[in-house]
Amino acid sequence: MRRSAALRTLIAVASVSLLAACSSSGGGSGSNTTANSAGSSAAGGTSSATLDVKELTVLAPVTPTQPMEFWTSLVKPWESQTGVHVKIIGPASDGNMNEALTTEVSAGRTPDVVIDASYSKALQPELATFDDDSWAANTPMVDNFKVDGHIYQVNIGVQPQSIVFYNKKAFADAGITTMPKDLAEFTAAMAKIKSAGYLPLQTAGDGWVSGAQFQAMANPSLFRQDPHWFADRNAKKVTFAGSAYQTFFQAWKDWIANGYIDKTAVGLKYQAGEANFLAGKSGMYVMGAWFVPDAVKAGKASQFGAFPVPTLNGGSYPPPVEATQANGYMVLKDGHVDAAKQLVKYLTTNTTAIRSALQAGGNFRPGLDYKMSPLAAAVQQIMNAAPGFVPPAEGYGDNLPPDGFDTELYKEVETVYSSGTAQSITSDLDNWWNAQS
Amino acid sequence: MTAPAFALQALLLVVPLIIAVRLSFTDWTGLSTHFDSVGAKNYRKLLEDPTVREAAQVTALIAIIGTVVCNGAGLFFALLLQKATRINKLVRAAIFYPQVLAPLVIGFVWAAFLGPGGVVSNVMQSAHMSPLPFLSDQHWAVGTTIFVIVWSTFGVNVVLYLAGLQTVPPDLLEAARIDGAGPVQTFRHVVLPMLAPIVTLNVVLVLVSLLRTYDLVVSLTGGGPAGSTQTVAYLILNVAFRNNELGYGAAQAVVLAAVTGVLAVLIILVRRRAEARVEA
Repeated sequence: MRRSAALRTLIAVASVSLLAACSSSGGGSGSNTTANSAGSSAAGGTSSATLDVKELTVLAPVTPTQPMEFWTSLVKPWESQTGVHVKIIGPASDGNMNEALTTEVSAGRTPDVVIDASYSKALQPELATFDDDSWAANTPMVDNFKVDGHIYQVNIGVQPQSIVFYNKKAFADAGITTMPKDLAEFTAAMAKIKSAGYLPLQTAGDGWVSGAQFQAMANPSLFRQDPHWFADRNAKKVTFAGSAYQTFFQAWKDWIANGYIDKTAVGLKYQAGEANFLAGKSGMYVMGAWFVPDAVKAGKASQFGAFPVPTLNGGSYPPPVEATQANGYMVLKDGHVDAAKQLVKYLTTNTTAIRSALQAGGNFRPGLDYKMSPLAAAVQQIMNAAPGFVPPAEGYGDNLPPDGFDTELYKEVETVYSSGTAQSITSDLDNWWNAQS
Repeated sequence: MTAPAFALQALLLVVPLIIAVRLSFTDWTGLSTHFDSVGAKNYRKLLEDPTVREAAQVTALIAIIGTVVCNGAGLFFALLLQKATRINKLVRAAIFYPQVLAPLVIGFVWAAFLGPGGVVSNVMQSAHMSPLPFLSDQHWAVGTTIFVIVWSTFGVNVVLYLAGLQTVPPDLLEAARIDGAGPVQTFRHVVLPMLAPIVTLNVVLVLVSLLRTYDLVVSLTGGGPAGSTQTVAYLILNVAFRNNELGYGAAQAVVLAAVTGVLAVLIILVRRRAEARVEA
């Protein structure tokens, strides 16, 4: 049903405040986009469309590596060329961009552009497509993110997530000279690292770390078996039981039993887990490429190397890389679509802007180098050698699981540390998925 | 005179509640300007959702144990710290101190104390003891969460009970003493009945507050391990928002608000009867 803007805003604010009644988290900053007739040439290279807008609002992931100053300086050249002010707003609470977008939209402050929100069926009706924008076809992972052939999102780069970072000293002390390629070799390496006095694999809890690490290890093998695994699970053609997940869950369980993973790690915060690895207490750490800037910042990047996650025993190596977008841009169709697209075009095709964003976030773009640390170069090499990209648990493109699958998976992974077995967990995941349809 | 207060109350509480009830019968995603009525689907889903059931159990456990312990400890410390000596004043301030800290901060601090590799675990290891899984075992984590909640909450109960104790007439206590009543009898038959309204207030305040536990769970456990410390409020805010199920979230919020309201009213009614018996 259609609501008037005022009533909608009242409803949204009131309901959000009721839902949030138990928390102390606040709302985001407001948007006050206004249109006028001050046209100017669009930046970004090819278009000369007139922009009849004075201000665009961009909901951006304001993080320690990409702070507010980064975003404002990133858009400054485009602002100078077009005369359009770009207002950057950050997430109000914990940095989750989907929650931030929901908060903004439900409070009647729909931004023109959102960066790094995840596509969902709920979001799709609100999005403009880039189907008619020829430049969009050349952006990274564009085919991975297509939904029914439509482009709803364009990316600056790629964020590889299935990387095994290793402690060079621990490997040297353990006498490991060849990087493990499959689960059997990985397990053997863990035994040597443990004998050398290190915790073989650094994990943590915090509601997501172990889950993210598990999917980073398992998803490349899962999707190598079937590149459309999530879509096929939706069509009930495959099940978790008997899949690569079951093998990896069993391996994880065995690693905990053998002391290769700390059985109390689920009580550890993400920062504490990473601090342990940076302090040289553990041998390996499965993490996304965002670990690289952390290691560089700690002045310890040279102490670590990187290699791809292991495959199932006998699987061809290297496996595809579990990766997602690095600064993926979506344009909201209720906003100033033309101007917003011009801004997105500039940010995703202008080499200077791209390099700046990649460098700040520690991300990558095939075919585009920037001055990077040896550790970052190792990650880029892994990405370049990979036979393709596979999605994380939240999925993307046509490989989209039911909403909340990542949360459910993370929860189930944490049961591996206690009573959960590979069989019971995969069965639980199948039951959960079936209950969503 | 009460009209402005009533209007404010209506605006901030009644109107959002009515709107939430309306939204709870829709499929609103929070991202759309359109939503359709789905009847009682969200409520049916809520009844069948095992995650909600688990969160309700955790919330009930926190609320029941927390209410009993906060009030027991609050009354105990109030009696202990009744005399206004210098040390007692210091201890009162120390007990009340967590009230001035944000629950998020409290959660992070206790996580640093009790988490693996935290202060307590290091001390135990240096004493050649096995560290306890305060936050890494599902059952322990629930216990730890309740402990931290009680630690951070009961200071306000102490203050309220202390205030209540000031209202007990000294001549009543003197009369009881002359009649030969010992300390336990005096407490049971004189002090406690006089504190009845304060007990009611404390029970309702703590219960309502604990049924809405959210912030501390976020920072202490993140709802884990394996979702074992997810409360209903945590579920509403983390899952409904993240999954764009605001209609469903509204249904959960309405049920939580209704349960909280009903429990508060029931407790007040029961306590009033008890108070009436005392007065008689």
